[in-house]
Amino acid sequence: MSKETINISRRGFVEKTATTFAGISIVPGVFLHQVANAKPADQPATADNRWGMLIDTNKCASGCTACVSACNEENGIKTSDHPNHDNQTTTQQWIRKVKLRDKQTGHVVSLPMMCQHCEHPPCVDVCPTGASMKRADGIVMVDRHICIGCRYCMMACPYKARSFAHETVEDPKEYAPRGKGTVESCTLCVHRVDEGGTPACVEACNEAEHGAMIFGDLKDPNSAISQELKKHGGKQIRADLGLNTGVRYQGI
Amino acid sequence: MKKIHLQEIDGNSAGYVGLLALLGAFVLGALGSTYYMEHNGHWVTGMNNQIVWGMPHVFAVFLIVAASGALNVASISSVFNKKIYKPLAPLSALLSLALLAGGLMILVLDLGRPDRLLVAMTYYNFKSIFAWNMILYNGFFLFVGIYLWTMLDRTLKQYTRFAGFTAFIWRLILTTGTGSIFGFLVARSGYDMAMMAPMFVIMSFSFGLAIFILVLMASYNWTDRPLGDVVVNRLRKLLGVFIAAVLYFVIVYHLTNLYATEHHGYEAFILLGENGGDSYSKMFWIGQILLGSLVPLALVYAPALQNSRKTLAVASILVILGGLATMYTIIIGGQAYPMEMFPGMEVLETTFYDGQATVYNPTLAETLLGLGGMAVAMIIVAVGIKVLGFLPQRLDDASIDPHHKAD
Amino acid sequence: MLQLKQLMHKSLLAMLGSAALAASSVAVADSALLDIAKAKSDQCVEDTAEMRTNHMEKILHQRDKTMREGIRTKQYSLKECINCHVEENSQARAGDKDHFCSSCHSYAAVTIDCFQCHADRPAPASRNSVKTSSLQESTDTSETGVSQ
Repeated sequence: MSKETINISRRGFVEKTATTFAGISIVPGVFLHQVANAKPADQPATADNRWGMLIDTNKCASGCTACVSACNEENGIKTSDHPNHDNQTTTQQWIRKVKLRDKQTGHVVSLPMMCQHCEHPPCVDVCPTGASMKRADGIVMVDRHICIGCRYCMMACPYKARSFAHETVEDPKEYAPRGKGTVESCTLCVHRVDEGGTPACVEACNEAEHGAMIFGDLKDPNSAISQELKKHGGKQIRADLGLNTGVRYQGI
Repeated sequence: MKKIHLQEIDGNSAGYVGLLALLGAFVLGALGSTYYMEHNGHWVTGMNNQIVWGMPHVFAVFLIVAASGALNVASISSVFNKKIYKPLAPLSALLSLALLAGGLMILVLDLGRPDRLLVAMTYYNFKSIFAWNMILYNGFFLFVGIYLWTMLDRTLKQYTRFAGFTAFIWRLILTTGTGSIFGFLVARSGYDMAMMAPMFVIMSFSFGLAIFILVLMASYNWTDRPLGDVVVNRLRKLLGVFIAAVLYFVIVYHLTNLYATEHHGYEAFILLGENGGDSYSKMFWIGQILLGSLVPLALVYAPALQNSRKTLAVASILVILGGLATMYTIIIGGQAYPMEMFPGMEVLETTFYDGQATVYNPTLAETLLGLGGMAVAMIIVAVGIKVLGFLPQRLDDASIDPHHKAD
Repeated sequence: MLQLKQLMHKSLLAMLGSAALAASSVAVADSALLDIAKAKSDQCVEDTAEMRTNHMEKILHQRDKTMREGIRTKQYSLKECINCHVEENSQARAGDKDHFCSSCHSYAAVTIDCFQCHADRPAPASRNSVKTSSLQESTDTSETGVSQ
């Protein structure tokens, strides 16, 4: 306990020194990383961060659905209990695996599709009540307190990233509330991100030893994702729309 | 020149009560469907995560578009000063309010959370075309309501023209807004075109007038009031012009898409029925073009069928059915066509129907909800013309002289 | 090493919890009319009177702060209401008379739709271990550290 208390004050100290003596490299990188990631619970998310994800489709294994299962487990997404009912059309899919073949070259890629966390999200533009929203740190979510279930955002999303809760949600996770009659989509595991963690899908991809997904702060030039993007680049899906997505892909 | 009086209908006949009972049954059906859908969740409908707007939206958008068009007759009389339509203006305004109410009822009852109607009314995202539409709907009720008031209250006669003009401008903006709900959707190949807005305006003229003609002829027929050929033929010719105008817009819409390579897939889907678009293609060619446009055009203009009320009624019914087919093609077809997420790639595996046309099988519940909205509109009209004097006592040729000032 | 720390942390919390539970079960029921489910602690985040009148505003305010800004303080969070006022693995579900929220809300005939989406009971311990990542756990611990 006391160790942790010290840790906190040390963290605060580090924060202050880091800002005062910016550039002095006595601060160990580990701490810098933690300061950047773990937002204090009473502080709002700010535009100093922009959370994003980079997916290397060459590392993404065809047939592997670790990210999908992890997402479902994390967010309490279950297939329907109703018999005689085509689950695939009406159950929620926050993340899905897609396998593609280039029609000309025959090159086959496998990749996960999910909310692309656009800088200019069409779903946010069209939402009549403002339930569809983007946080200051770039995470796009649905505020299901004021979602009326009109589904206009689903019409507007170019990535089919959103699902409608077609039936009652039994036993939602306490950190991922979900309910019938509203629209939902990938939250980038915001409950984890706010506490300095990584989204469940990325964790699962790493645990499966594919390492195809990197999560991090696009605004931090030293983050792994920024470094990798700078070195090898990453494409946006439907870049023509100019949405500036937070999720980027390599190898497509 | 005779003075034309507006008079309430008696509304005591067995036929009138029977009509209300029939319409009431449809409304009950719609309420039952709503309970069924909301209690179980939308999985009991034909809607899914691919086709998110289904049959209720086909009916609702049709009614909302038609509502604006039903105001035609009133606008022509007040804004363009055509005296022949003046006695019909109140009915036209009543019908437009009724149709909008019916359409909105469907929209609201199909929401995932209809209990949050208050949220929809209190939280506004002003960048949302849907939010603009909510303001436009409310404004429509207000402005058309005021317009109607100035027409029915003799002491306010001098304001009718101004109120009519406001309502006219507002209904144009309203339908522009309705069309833009689709026109501004960049994600989907079938939408994303500014032309959606003017096309919806023209469609509103045609659908609204068809409904108006049917309501007019039915109410005169059932109340044994005289309705002369002069009025009816005017409306018939106007309907013909509107049907042709819609056809023109539809042709230009598809030609524009056909020119752009990126939209070839969508056109092949809708026009040729390729890649799973078979049912939408049939709906387009048979429903929208043949039955909804060409046949009514022929019925309206065929010289041998002049003065035939039955023919005009059939033509109007076909325009309405064609209108529903149009909405089905646009709304369902536009969603069923797979989104172009990965140009130049084919999708080998997906769990979410990427690159595939999605099948939509409307269920009885959704259709009943749509029909219930129509019934609500008709009930409002039926009760309206009984409570207040909306219907002119007589519209026979002798009392109407288009070459003479009516007042 | 880390796991050991987690385990210690959890067992400490569990001990504290059960102590509070014992204390609260001794306390007499608040109202003769109502059988309100008991809390795990005998002191809520504010006075009982204050909570009775204004809990909805506090939760609503916190709701928007958490949802829109990511502020996740525990004082007024609905999750913490449930954690303290509802037993883990409780059989009482939202809507039942013996659920803490529903007991009063059904008496006062005020309909709430919180639990159409939110969990109506605390997460079982087994569920918790699936969720927590190492970084998160350390944040939780440090919070406890600050409050003590």
